[in-house]
Amino acid sequence: MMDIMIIGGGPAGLSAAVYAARARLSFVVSEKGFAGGGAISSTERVDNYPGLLGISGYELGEKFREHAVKLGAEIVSSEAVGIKHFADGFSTLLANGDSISSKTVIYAAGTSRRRLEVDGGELPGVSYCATCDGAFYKHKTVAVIGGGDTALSEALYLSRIAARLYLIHRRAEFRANADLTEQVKSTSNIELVLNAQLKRVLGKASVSGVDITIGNRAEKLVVDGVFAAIGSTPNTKPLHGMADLDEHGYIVADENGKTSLGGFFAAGDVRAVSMRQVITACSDGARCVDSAEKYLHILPQ
Amino acid sequence: MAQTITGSEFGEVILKQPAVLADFYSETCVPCRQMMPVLEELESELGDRIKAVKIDVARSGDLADKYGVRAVPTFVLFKNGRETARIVGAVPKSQLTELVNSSRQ
Repeated sequence: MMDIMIIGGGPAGLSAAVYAARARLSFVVSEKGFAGGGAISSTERVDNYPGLLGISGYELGEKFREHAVKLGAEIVSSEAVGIKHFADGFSTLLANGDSISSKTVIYAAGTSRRRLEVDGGELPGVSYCATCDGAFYKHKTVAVIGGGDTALSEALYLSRIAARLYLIHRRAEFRANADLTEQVKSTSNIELVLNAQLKRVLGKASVSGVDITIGNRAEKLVVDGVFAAIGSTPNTKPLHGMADLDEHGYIVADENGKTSLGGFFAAGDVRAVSMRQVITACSDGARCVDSAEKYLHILPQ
Repeated sequence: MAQTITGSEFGEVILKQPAVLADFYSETCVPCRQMMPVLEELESELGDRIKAVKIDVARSGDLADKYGVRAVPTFVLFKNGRETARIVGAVPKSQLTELVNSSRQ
């Protein structure tokens, strides 16, 4: 039986792996085989992780992974689809059919992009990844929906590919950091559409436009693609009520990662916190290993 | 490893092979990069049964338009030059294997 099962291969899970390796604990990391590196991987440029100014999110994710592997981490590329709690520990079921027994779990499965819930939201040409699908919109017109760091980063990235970009946000002010906001405001081909609600995505075979309302006024914008960055939902499906969640479904845990269930710790974006950054995810991962180690000491041998 | 091909080459490859798996990708797309080793594994497992090719949608927008590809990665299976199945998005290898096997009757 492993000391720790680490679920999630993003900055939180891989930081936990680094600390667990140095603590000489036995552990395995599981990650979705096709999405290693965590949410940061699809960010074009990271300017707020100390010491690595301007690194691409993908490269940063790869560095975390290499670091953990060099220290001896075993990473299994299969998604955790279920977790069971027993008197003496946990059993994690992976998508590949394997089960892994462990005395503790560090759950760092992150979040997924929230989907658009409007008519036309499933049309081809609606995307949740600018670095993936930006290439289709060279010299075209696109809309970005959202007002946080992700939305503004994606708008900046797309503004260098598309001819014209509408940034549609439901409030008057952006939630994104001041630096990103300033860059967006000074980019000439980004047009801000504020206090605006997306009502529908238009198109038959693919996107041809969007219907929005600004106050009581209805408007139609002609666009070739829509990029949605309207927040995230936590990946907590395998838990089935095992630990307490907040009203939005994030795991309630203290700063040391302790949840309502002994031996089950939460780290990174999946935890109910006000800030979801690489640096806070790393900190969470480290603290969870410390908490797990203390928990292992008090377990009957 | 699967070769990257463009518009004119594509026609020749598709017409000449009984089964082709085309991976539409873009250089900056992280899920696409994560799928490349998966595609390589699949290729070595399947050997001569199928030919895998990669299509960079930034360089071959014409092919992306022609086949209605609007997101990457998209995997399209062609049998005797005609599309028989496709998967949009990054998936575990088992699903790609199923896609390939789906048209083997």
